[in-house]
Formats: sequence, structure tokens, C-alpha cells
Amino acid sequence: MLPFLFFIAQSIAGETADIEVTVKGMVCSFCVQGLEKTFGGESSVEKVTVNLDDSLVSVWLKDELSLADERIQTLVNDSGYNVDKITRTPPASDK
Amino acid sequence: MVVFWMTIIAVLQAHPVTFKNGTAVTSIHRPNMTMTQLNYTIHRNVAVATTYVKMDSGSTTLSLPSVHFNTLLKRWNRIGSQANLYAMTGVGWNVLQNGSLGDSIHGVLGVQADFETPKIYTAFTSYTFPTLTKMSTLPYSARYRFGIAPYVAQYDELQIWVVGQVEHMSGAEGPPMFTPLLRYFYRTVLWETGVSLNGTYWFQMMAHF
Repeated sequence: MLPFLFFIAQSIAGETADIEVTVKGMVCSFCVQGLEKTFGGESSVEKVTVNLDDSLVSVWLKDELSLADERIQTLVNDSGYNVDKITRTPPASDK
Repeated sequence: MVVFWMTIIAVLQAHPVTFKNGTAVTSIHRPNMTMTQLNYTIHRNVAVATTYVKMDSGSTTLSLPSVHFNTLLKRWNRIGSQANLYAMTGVGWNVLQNGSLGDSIHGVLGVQADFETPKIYTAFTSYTFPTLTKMSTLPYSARYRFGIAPYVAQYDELQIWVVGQVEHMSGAEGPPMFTPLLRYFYRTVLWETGVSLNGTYWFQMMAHF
């Protein structure tokens, strides 16, 4: 039973993005596209989604890879926007 | 000729700078005129663009290519809003029907200021087109747009805007031209349709890559 519950917990944890970036200046579909394309082209990024309502970019990283805050700033700036804040989800092994 | 200048205004206003390494393709259609533009953003603040207009002015068919830089001078990013100030600089020329270069090599100088939220959009654009032989009486143009989104759509949903556009050209007779438009946004494609109060139709399509 315990391994099953552990598996469920890990699956639920996998739905949470590794990094969430609140972005200033995001107002339309073209904005979303620019951020998705810029982050999606980064080698350490597995998946990225953009929420226009919340001005939020959610990033899932590939295993064992990382993305520094400075690099996130550059990616957002190259897309034409500014970072408001960066939130990181602790790795599951730290819990 | 007034339609030509107003077309150029429309094109150069369309989306001056996108995102680094982003490409925008725009096409505008008005009576007796077709325009296409290719725009590539080389830096987050600068895009290089080439525009081609083909216009039938009755007895003559004009081909009007131009190249220009669009520079983002200043941007204000806030949560849920963005304001921009752009400058556009370039050169254009006439190619007459027989292929010869016309006598109207002209500069392109423009400014655009805009402000946008997910529900409100407003933009003002003004241009002048200096030539070496007509520096004393520069033609100018001005356009103002205001738009409202009745609802806010996500990236995978259709976003509709209701837009009002007012245009004025130096030397044009009559009042400024008002055109109500519907603007549609879906993912990376935008298109607009409308008819001015004097019956001039407008269709624009834009795609970002």
C-alpha cells in the first residue's frame, strides 16, 4: 500500500511546474507565443505553458538540468517583457 | 494616392517589433491595392522590415517597395498592461509599370505610441515621407485606433476586438476617414475586416512565427 501511495504522491507532484515566472507586460496571444517560443528553445526546458490571465509562465525542466534566475531574466527580456517574480518548487527529494 | 499613403501607415503600424528572432508577415487589402510586409526582429528593440505595395491608380500601376527599421524606443511593462513608443525609419521608391525607377525616392519617418491591456487597446501613429525635392512641404499622416475586447480569451481561444480607426492625411479633402473594424486573434494569427463610412473596405491578416 505504501509504495502505491508514494507513486500517487509523485504523480501529483509531477503536475506542479519546477519554476513559475510572473511576467510584466503580457497582454495578448502574440505575447504568449513569444514567451513559449523563447523558453521552449532552451535546452533545459521540457515543457512550458503560459497563462495570460495570471501573467504566469510555468516551466518544467528536464531531469538533472537547471535554469538559473539570470537566464530566466534574459529569456523574458528577449521576449520583450520583464520579470516580476520567480518561484521555484523544491525537488520532491527535498520534501 | 491618398489610399497609398494611408496603406503605408497601416502597414508600418501593424506590429513594429515582435520578439527576438521573431518574424511577422502582414497582408493588407484595400480597393485597388495590395500590400505585403515581412518583418524580422533582430534584437528585442529593433526589427528590420521590407514592404511591397502594388496599387492601381487608374491609368497607372505602381509598385512601391520600401525597407525600414522599426525601433522600440521605450516600453513600460506592468502586470496586465504594456505601453510602447516606437520610431520607424527607412527609404522607399516608386517602380513604374514599365519597370523604370520613378522620380520619387523618399524617406520614411514615423512614430507610434500605444497602450494595451487584455481588454483595451489604443494606438497613435504619425508619418512623414521626405523627398530631396520636396523638403519644404512634407506630407504627413496620422492614425488613431481605439479597441475594446468584450471578453478575454486564452491562447487557444478566439479573441475578438471591436476597433475604431480614424485616419488623416495632409492634403486630403474632407474630414478624417473613420473605419469600424472587427479584429480576430487566434494563437499566432490576427485578421481584421471593416468598411469605412465612405465605403472603403479593409482586410488585414498578420501571422507571427
